[in-house]
Formats: sequence, structure tokens, C-alpha cells
Amino acid sequence: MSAMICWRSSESGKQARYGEGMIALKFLARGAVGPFTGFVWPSPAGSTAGAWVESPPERFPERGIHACLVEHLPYWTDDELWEVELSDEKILRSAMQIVASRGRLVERVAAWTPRLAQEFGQACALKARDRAVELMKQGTRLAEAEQLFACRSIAELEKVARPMSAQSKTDSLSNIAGYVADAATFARISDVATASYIAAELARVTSGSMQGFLLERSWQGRWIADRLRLAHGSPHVSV
Amino acid sequence: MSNEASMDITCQELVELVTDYLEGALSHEDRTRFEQHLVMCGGCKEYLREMRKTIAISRKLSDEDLPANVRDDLLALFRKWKAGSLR
Repeated sequence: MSAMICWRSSESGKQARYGEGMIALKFLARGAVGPFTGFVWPSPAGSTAGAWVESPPERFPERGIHACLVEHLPYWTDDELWEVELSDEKILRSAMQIVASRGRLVERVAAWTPRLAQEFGQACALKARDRAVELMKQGTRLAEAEQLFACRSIAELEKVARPMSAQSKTDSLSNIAGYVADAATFARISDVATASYIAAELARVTSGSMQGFLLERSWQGRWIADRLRLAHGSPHVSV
Repeated sequence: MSNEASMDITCQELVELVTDYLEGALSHEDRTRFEQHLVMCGGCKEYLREMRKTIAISRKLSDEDLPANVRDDLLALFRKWKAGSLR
């Protein structure tokens, strides 16, 4: 499946460094390192983009250049976020990423900081909390719902939700409290990839379908886009 | 669209798939599932890193790097294993 979707930063004045390729986003580990391959990406120097990186054509898409549109971001959070230019006539798009055979780093997205990542994890945990509160109210567990809702920090949320999850292994509301406690734990230790996944899993479990998971991931993508001021109002961007 | 997201893999499955992953033999969908597991599993990420390191070190070895007695012991073990007497 090919896609002709473009993403551009809402900031102007950076266009000179871009070529004609599609601009997408890519999470990397600290030092512009591929999180799974250990590959060190050539970094941009000043206003010059990094060197092109190519994958062997015969290995496409298994060993292609992987990147994200906005809606893919919550699946791959890592230390650094980069704008990447993809030069390819055929770009494969799937549910969680896009793949091209050639790409280069253009510029680091400076707004993605450890602090923002932590805030993202916390937002996911609080969203899971809000979902649990609604379900507890419907299930006539009003006192516990109020306790959860009154939590003013992630550490407090974890402390309150954890004992609720231990009440009964077969009770669905206790199970839901377990998701909230886990999301809070991972948010507290800044493992935002896991915190966001747990929040999406809770959405899947409580909605009874994969659609719940995907909708939660979409919300997470919008959260990141909003905070990074990505141009998701642009007609080129799909969130 | 939901296919990729709905099929998580376990740590054990990841270990079974790691050779195919490193050889680029996984399909795009399986590779995505594999890497989605890595995003959230520090243990498996470390395991993959160690596997890559082991392969890189092994590639640097030649026959001469192995002492003769060690090579003979290894060959004897392989022969036993092939004959089915070593389990």
C-alpha cells in the first residue's frame, strides 16, 4: 500500500534544508541511535541534513527505513524525536508506521524532552484513571471512584489504585484498578511506552474490542501532536 | 488495521523469533510485532543487544583462534549430538 501523505512542521523558515521527499518523524535512542538495531544515524550538521541511509531494495520493507506519521507516535516513544526525510516513490504505510527504502535525518524535534515524555506518560495514566472512575460509578463503587478521582499526583494514584486491584482477582473493577495502578507505576518511573500501552489496553478491555485500543492510541497521538505543536490542522496530516 | 496491534508476542516467542529477526526473515507485520514487544520489554531489548554482540564477536573468530584441544572437544561433542547420544 502506498501513501502520499506529507507531514510538515508548523514552523516556517526551515524549508530550505528539506529536499523533495516526504517528511515524517522518527524516534531514536539517545545519540540518534536506532533503538533496535543500534545503528547510529548520521546527524545533521548546521542547516545541512544528515547523510542518506539506504536499505537494500531486495530487503524492502523488512529492512526499510521506518518512520512515523503523527498517529504512529505513541507506539514508538523513545529518547529523541527527529524529523526524517524519506525519498521513495513507494512508501508503505501500515497501522503503526511507514516504511521507505531511503531516509535521512533533517532536524531534531527539540520540544520532545524527557519532561514532556514524562507528562505524556502521566496524561495516559490519568486518562486510564478517568475511565476507571466512570466504570466504578456505573458499578456502584462510588467511594472507590471518588478516591481515585481525588488523587492529585501519579504517586498518589498508584498508592490508592494498587490496594483496590488486590481486593479480588475475579472482580472486573478490581482488575481495572490494576490497570490504573500499573499505568501509574510506569508513568512514575518514566517508562512512557509501557504506561501508554497499558492505558490503551485498558481501553480495549473495557470496550470489548480492538477499536477501543486504536481510539486510545489516536487520542495519545493527538496529545503528542498538540504538545509538540505539530501541524495536525494541515490537510496533509492524518491523526 | 487492527491486525498488527491485536497480536502481541511474549518474551518466549521473541526468543524463538530472534534469529529470523536478525536475518531479516520476518514479514513486515511480524517484525512490527517483534519491535513493539521490544519497545516495552527492557529484558528482551538487552537480550537482542547481547545476541548482536555475540554475532559480531563470533564473526571475528577464525579456526586459528581456537586452541586445538578445544576444537577437538567441540567436534567430539557435535558428533555425539548428531549421533543422538547427547541430549
